[in-house]
Amino acid sequence: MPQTVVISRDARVDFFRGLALVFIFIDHIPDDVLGDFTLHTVGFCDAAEVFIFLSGYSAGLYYGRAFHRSDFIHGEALLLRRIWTLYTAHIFVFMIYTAAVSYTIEVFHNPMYSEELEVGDFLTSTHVVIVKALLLQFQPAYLDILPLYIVLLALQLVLMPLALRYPLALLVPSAVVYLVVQIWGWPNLSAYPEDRTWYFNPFAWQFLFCLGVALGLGRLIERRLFPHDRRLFMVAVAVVLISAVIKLSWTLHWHFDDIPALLIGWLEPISKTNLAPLRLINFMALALVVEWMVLPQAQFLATRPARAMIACGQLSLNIFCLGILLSVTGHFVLVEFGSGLVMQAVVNGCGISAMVATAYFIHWFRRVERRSPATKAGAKRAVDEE
Amino acid sequence: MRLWLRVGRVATAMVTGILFLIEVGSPVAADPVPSVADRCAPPPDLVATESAFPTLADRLRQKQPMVIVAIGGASTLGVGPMAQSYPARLEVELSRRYGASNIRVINLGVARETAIKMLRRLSDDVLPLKPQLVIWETGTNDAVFGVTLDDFAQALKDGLGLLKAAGIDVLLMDMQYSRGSAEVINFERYMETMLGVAEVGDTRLFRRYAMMKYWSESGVFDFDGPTAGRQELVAQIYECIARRVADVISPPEP
Repeated sequence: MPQTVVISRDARVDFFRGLALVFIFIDHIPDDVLGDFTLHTVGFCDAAEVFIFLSGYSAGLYYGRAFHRSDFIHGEALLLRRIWTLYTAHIFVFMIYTAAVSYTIEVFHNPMYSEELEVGDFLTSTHVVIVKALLLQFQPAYLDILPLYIVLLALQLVLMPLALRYPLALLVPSAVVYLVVQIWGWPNLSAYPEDRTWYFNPFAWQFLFCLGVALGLGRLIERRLFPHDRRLFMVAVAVVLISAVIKLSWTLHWHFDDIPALLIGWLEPISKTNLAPLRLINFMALALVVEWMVLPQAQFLATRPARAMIACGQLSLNIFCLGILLSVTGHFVLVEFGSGLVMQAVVNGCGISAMVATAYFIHWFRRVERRSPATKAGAKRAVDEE
Repeated sequence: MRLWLRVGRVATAMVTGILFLIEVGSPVAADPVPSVADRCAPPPDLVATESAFPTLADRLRQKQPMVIVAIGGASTLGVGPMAQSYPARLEVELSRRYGASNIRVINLGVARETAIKMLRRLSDDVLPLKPQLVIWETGTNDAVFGVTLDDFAQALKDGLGLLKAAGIDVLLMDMQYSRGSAEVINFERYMETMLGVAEVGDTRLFRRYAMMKYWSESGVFDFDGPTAGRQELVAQIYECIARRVADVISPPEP
């Protein structure tokens, strides 16, 4: 058994993952005013990158440790169990989403919107759609991140055991596949209905996830993948600042015609589906800057709002699913009851509060369970696995 | 930022709503002709102040013949009689504004088509008609069927390039709004894509969605109301859209 370092949870990972979950909740509500104050306003990347990267990092830390400590089969079993949990969560969210759409389609029927009503196609061809949903091929808006996460984690069944000693080796095939997608725009997995592909192309996004995994694995064996180099840091800062200025000008341009959208003709299109290099570079630079500037023992991480985000980040799957359902509900409320400032404040306030309250509740419940000897092991596992 | 725009919009919406109620409530509101026009004024931030197509406006003023092609989906084709569709109403409206009889608006709407399918028709069906202006309504089916944003953007770009190369002016048009459709379809990503492509390609985008949303929120129209009176609602909407499109070509005198 190789020697690995004992690592306590890094509060920064949980904090930023929690923050990403809140951003994903906000960004998923169309027309949300707060949507102008999330990451994508000042960056080419958005909360999706943060979520996928930090999920990879946590996976590297947790499953990597399992592979190091116990045998291969046990590590694989843990990964499989996690994949299964994600899968059932996806199916659960799908059920609720379907119910919401069925209800709306049932109520809303206007000949003027004949094409819009086609979205209800899946209500008339339920037999096909259910199979497609089980195969992760049916991905309406909101239901596209979990399938990606599932596939990326499944990939680690093969990659992670091979990369335990040499995390960098993981990145070689990963980068090759990523480059192939960038150059040829191919391959991507197929989706439903026919001719569609995945919104998040797993062949592209796997690179970001693998970067996270490799960094997590590297941490276990105390190997830094990026040197602590001042010049690298300065470059990253420059990338983050320049991206922020350019992207902010685009954001402002949508609201005020007079402000020019800098370089938009040169930089567009920036594919989210294929994780365009600009998004990836912007995100990695941002991650580097944050990692450097925010220390694990930073004061602000102990404040109340930060602790709330950490609580959410530690329960990322639960809170992610809840966030999706809250987005759907929030959007419904804004459309039905007006999207004035008061309603916006109510929807965002209630949504974020519900996420935090749920996180605290689950934590409390797990603490209670941990006190009972019979469930001690299970509760410990549940906290670490996230 | 958008916050204040929104405050302004909500305030205007409320005022418009109140004015509308007063108008409906008062027995004096008997003038039948301008009722529709008065009702469907555009939201303040979408008022056309100068022509987006000055050359076309000149042409119209000089009473030269004009061919406009409206290509799009079901909402271009129109529900009910063809004469009621927005392209047909646009022809009537432009002819009225310029007192001309040689303006033709050709309706090439086909239901259920995505931008990629329309792209093919642009070269096969639209170019041979040698129009001066093409109004390209798209995005609805792309959002409904979940076409990849990259593919959608590429189709738009190719289409705009094709028309520009042929020296034809283009007006892009986005989706229709109703609370019901907004709840089940995520149009936002597709609308942002259209905005982006229009911006990069220096093309005018007719923001139908924002306009109809404004009418819905200010209580001018209820697209999700009871089934009775739907036919009339449809006719009024097409009339309103036609007038607002006409504004883009020839804005009303202030």
